[in-house]
Amino acid sequence: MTAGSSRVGRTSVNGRRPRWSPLRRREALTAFVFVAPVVIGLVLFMAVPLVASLGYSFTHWNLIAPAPTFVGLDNWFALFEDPRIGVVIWNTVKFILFGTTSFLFFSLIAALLTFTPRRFVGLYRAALFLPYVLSQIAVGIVWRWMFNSQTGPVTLGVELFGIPSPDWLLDPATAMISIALVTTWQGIGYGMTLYIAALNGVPETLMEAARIDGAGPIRRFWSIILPLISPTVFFLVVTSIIGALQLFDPVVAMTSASSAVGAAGGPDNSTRTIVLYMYNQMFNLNEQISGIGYAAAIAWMLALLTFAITAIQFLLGRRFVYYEGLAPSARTRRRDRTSTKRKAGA
Amino acid sequence: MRRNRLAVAVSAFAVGSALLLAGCSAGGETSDDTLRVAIWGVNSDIDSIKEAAKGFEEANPDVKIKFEVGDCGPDYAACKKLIAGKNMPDVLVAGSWNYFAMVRDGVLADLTPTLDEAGVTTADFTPTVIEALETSDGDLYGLPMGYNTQSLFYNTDMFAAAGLAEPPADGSYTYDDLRDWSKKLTLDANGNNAESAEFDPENITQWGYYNRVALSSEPGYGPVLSAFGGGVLTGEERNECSIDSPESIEAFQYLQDLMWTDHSTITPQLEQEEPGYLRWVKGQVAMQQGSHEQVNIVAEQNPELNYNMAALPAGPAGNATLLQIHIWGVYAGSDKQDVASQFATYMATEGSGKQMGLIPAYQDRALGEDFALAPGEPSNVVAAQIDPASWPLTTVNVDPSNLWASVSGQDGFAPAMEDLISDRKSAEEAFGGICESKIDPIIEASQQ
Repeated sequence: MTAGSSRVGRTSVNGRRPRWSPLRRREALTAFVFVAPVVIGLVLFMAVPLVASLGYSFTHWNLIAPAPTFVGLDNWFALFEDPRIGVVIWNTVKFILFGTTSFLFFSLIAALLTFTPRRFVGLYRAALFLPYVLSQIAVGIVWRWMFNSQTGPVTLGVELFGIPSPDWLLDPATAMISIALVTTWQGIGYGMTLYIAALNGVPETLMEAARIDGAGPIRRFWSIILPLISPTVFFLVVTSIIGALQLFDPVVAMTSASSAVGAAGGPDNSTRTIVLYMYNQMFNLNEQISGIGYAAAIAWMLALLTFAITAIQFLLGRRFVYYEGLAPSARTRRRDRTSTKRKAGA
Repeated sequence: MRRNRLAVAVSAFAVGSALLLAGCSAGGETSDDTLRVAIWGVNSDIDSIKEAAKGFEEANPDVKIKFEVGDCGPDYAACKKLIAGKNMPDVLVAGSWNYFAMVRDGVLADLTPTLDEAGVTTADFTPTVIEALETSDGDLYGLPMGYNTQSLFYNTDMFAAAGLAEPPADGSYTYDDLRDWSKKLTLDANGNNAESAEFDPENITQWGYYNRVALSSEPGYGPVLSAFGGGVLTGEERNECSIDSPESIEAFQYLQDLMWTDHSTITPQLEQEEPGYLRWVKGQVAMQQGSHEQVNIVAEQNPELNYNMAALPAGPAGNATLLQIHIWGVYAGSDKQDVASQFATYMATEGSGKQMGLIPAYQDRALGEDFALAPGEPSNVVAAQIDPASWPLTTVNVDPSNLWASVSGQDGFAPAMEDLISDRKSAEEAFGGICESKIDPIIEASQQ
């Protein structure tokens, strides 16, 4: 193999692209053939719907008419005029505040409790992981019964301690918290598994050294464990918030009185999320604006919201996430250079 | 070796592409002589439709019927997905609750010309049923497979044990009577009924009554509202808000009192634990307001149950009930309009009866062996199920103004209904002024 043909795109001395050898061409073709199904799938099922949904957001179409009608920015302006948009965003944010926080916290607790090898630890881990493999609809239906405010085990359990039980799913103040508790319960196993993998990467030598230096368990956790598992925490924060922004199934399963998606989101609109409202506008409601166009505009609003939140997380992540073995970030390098200059000046 | 590898790679690509294309292609393509019919329901419903269609198949041997079981029909959203995917069957069974939404969107073909060709007139059908399906122009975009009537189903053993006379079959009793019976038939673990001072509402073993208001379901509360002189949406086009009228509020308060003051009726919490109709079938509830499907459920699940039925009672405005219609319709985009229309017409006329356990609306078949005289029917079936269809206050849950989804959802009165059935607010507190604050804006927006 000549030096000129060793890299794709490199030009030869006379300015022409180098000719590929028959072997290299065959290898490239083979690679293309193997990669093509995935690329085609991604284009067909991700890129095309993505672009198409953006296009639909400038149209009105009820899926029945032969073709969509172009309405320009009407759907986008309607987003700002629709008073329900603020409500569904706030409901979704409420879920993030309760659901994501409790998921991150309790997953970490579960990981710390089951990290150390002990008797039956595998059983505990399996038991905690089991809900994660269940259908969200099935889990929602079961927990709806668990939260039954007259005969539900949760209600009866709370009342055993002499505490008056809230109305859980029937009270606007507690309905979203109840849903967040259920999604946390179901997701703990997944978070725990990732946390355990991260905890396995914490060097024992560091922990031992800290012990010798007299650091207690809390100090060791804050100063050694948490920084070293921060990439996993960051990953879980980002992915769980993205998942929370798409909350739908548990709300439908736990709040619709007669299994009708159109009536889900109660009590008093307190659990109607962005995706549920998008579904309502797509399939349930018969308003002037209802249809795939307005639903697509809501979907894109959600996508932009997700992008913005994720971007903020990545910006914050630079400050708080520690990647072992990687070069420090530009900001850290700048800070270090400034500090060195000051020292030199001094 | 390298050639082999390339061959394998190319083959893998070809197979992958073929699978991808196969997955993308519509699955509903059929040959020209096949009629695709979308049906739904439990197994016995499906079987009954297939059985009824045999006459058409015999008369038209060149037409193959392909039944496709799914949600398109009761759930309009499912039909929309099939239409958008260009995979919509030729014939479907719509419900009175979504029929007019389909008509408005042009999903259903006009069957009036086919009826004329077949020599069938609207006079051949139960008037209340066929009139409910006519558009303001008098056109028919669907024909009734049959209908359900809300009636009172009661456990005769429980009435006898309480020393009560059975409800008059023709509905010549009142909602006050119903409330009294419900209290007398509700028993705690010590055998005290709900009228007793020693009655323990925390320990009930037998309930007096079940109404689907516990599910916020219109067939549950609708007849009660009508009998009290109220309603949710009234007027010919069902686009006038009446849900906060004094009569409607009185009816809602009546239903709430049965649940939470008398403790004689299944609450939403109990409903969630086990549906009230199943509790009645199992012999835990003395009376329930329900439709004829209860007869089939009892036959399947508890044939030993001794029961009968009566027409619903009178309220201050008179007797009222609610009908739900299952409707044979033809997809307007079908390229087999003629044969599809002939099939739908056949199923609603010559082939009618014994479909989905419904009351046939064609001629007087309801009074014959297809329904009233069928084996296992309770003795009061005509008075309780068929006669109420002609009551002046009887309504059909059609939605000619396409308002119901918005009006009954979270933007409409759903939160008020949740407050009512959960006993968080009285009927006046929950529904007072709701027309002006919530429902009228929805109606006005729909008319713009």
